[in-house]
Amino acid sequence: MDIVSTTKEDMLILDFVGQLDTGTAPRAEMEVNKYLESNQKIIFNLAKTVFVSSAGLRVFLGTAKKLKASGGLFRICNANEVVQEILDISGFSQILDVKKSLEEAVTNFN
Amino acid sequence: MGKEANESKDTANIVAQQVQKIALLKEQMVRMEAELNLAKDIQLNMIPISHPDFGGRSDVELYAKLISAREVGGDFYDYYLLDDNKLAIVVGDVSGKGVAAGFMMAVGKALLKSRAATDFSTASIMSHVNQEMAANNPDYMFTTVFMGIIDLAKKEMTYTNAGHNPTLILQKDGTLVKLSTLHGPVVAAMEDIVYGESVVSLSVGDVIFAYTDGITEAHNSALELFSETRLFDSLKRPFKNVKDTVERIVLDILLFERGEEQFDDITALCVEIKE
Repeated sequence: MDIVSTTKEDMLILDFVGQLDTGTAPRAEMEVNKYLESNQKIIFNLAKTVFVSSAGLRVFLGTAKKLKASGGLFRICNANEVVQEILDISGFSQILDVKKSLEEAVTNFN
Repeated sequence: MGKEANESKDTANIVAQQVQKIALLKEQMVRMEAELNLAKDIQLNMIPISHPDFGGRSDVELYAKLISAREVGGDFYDYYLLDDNKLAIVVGDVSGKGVAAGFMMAVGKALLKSRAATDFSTASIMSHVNQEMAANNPDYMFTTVFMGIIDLAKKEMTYTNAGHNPTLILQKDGTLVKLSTLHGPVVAAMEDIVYGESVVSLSVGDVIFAYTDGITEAHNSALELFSETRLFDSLKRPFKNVKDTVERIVLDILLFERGEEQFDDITALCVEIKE
């Protein structure tokens, strides 16, 4: 699992490349925490994320809650069919701001 | 010469210190492993027996099984009679593994049971338990929960699915019904969630099958998943009894995995509605 960061205006876009599971989630969480120190608008781009387990969902939830607590904003986008199904069944698509595409995610993000 | 002798003495000291350190670490590891095994025992002991007889009643039969993966896992099941006619069933899967997951499972299970003693609405039970668990959750853990309250007199089940995979009902004529409605997200993730509930009619001969994703996500060495399709095929074979159904599916999974290490806990809870 690699995390590639890019910025667009005041938004930080993090691309998760690979599999976000029990093995990779702890390191991903640590990396995301570093970005949280200096960013208030974060988008997780899952275009290259093959699979997300419940350990991965925990990283999404933690990021959403930390940003909410500090007055920041969080979005997820580009989930593939498998990941979208996981987001739907777990109900995460009800509690997180999930967008279909990166274009949608960067639009009106405030 | 004197300098060399001192150096070799220093080296010997360092080696001795390292050996001592390693011995200490090994001791700590053994102790930690023992504690983890204890946590796993606690997890398994908190699960009620597989095949209860409910005081000899003949209008319902239940069989459940939890096969724990190597580490302490987060799967759980539970069942209890709320009164003469109402049987509550619960299946859940806590995020992550280890002692923390075990604790959360224990708390969730206890809160559900205590609320169900006075509240027969699964929606209300889930909303209250979620509120309690989400309020103090600094590690962002969560658990999926399927809870059903089966009214054995009215022959219906009220149920709430909180982020869990859909429970199945195998009807007497062989039709497999998937209870696909999701009534809210996983429990403990977010406060102020109001869960919903659904009611499904049951008939004598119907078999309810609740399970965790350890079944559908079991995989073989080619990384193929056991999947819903294989589970449905297993379930559609002629029904004998609840024990046979669960044990047969477990066997199907083991045959499918062919020696691959079980990655996640596997849980199945099966109820037959009888005369």
